[in-house]
Amino acid sequence: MVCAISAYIDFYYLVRRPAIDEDCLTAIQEALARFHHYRVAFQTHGVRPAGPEAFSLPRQHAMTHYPELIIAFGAPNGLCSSMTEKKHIQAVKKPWRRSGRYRALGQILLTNQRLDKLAAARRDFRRRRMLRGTCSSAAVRSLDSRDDPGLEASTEEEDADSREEPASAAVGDDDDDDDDWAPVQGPTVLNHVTLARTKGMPSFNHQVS
Amino acid sequence: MADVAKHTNNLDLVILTRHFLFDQLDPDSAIPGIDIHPSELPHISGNTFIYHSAIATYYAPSNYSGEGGMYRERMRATPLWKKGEIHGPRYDCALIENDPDLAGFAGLRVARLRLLFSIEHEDINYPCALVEWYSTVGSRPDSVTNYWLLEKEIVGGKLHRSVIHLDCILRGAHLAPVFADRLAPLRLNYTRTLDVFGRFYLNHHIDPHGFEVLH
Repeated sequence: MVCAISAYIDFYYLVRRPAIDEDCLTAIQEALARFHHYRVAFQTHGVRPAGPEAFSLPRQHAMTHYPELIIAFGAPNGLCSSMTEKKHIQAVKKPWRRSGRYRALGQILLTNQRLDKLAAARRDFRRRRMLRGTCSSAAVRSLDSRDDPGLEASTEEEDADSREEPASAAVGDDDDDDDDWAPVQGPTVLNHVTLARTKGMPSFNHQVS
Repeated sequence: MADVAKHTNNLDLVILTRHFLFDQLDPDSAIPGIDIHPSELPHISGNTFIYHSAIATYYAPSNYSGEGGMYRERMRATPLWKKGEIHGPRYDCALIENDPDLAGFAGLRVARLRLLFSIEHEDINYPCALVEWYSTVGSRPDSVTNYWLLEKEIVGGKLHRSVIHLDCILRGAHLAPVFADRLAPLRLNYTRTLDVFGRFYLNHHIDPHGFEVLH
């Protein structure tokens, strides 16, 4: 089982590469073969039933198509395989739960159609700068004689596409390990290692003979 | 520095630093610093500053990195690290560059950081680390897990330790213990793992960058 998982993680990291060459593709196929070979252990120990239908799991099946699709379309470069699963929640599960359960498919389709129209309308309003701030902030602005709507920064109606700023390189309290692993903004430079900013113990001035 | 050595319980700090300094000052010497007689090693003057952590910044576009693909990681060597219920020493392991001409793990070594410090000698500042070396068990990775097996390196009956320049450090290393056939002691605190176990797996699945570097 450990061998199967090891092969699986190897496969994962190999397809994660931003560029995949022939050697890498061979390694991917080899990792896939190893995974299938050792995966039998899960059947042997009764985790999955015996027989050819045992591993009919979508994501595991998708793995078998990766080599040919990489050749056809290039490296997936971190494309998330959970995408369809995530969308399933928004597009199927939630609408179904909101439906009357009787002939639910039609209701689900209608719900999805309306969600898409709302999303499109929202995009259009945002493009026309109609969605800036909240109702209360708009009321405040209209009362303020010095207002200049052109410079108003959006608050709650942040563009959903903007990404959060990752932590900056400046580190505060060195004991706080919340940003022990963090992205670094800025240009690509050579690797380097630097000591922490705050010193540990008091310094010593000592002549060693 | 002798005070620092005594205070941090690293009694070999002075002599190892002098070996290090010799190699820094005379990198082309036919005889490496470790083989030079103490009387011919440089003397350490000036202050010694201790640090509890160091930050490694490297290009890791597949990690959760910034726009240029840079990523940083903090490695700690501190006698007391507090986080929630954890209250004790923390000495992380690191990957050390050994031979830049060899790809992957062949060009690297693994060591445990015991002390991070800086010294100044003849107006040059040297950021350093006192490390304990690990060596590989066998010439190939473990056949079951595919991880390299490591154990502490013993030379002349003692742990092999050295002082190295901080530039030699590539990034942190994750060592997982080899449990073999025995159960772990019930009350073992995981913060003592590196001290208690004899052999470790070098985890090259730690993150995408680790995989690229070690695979």
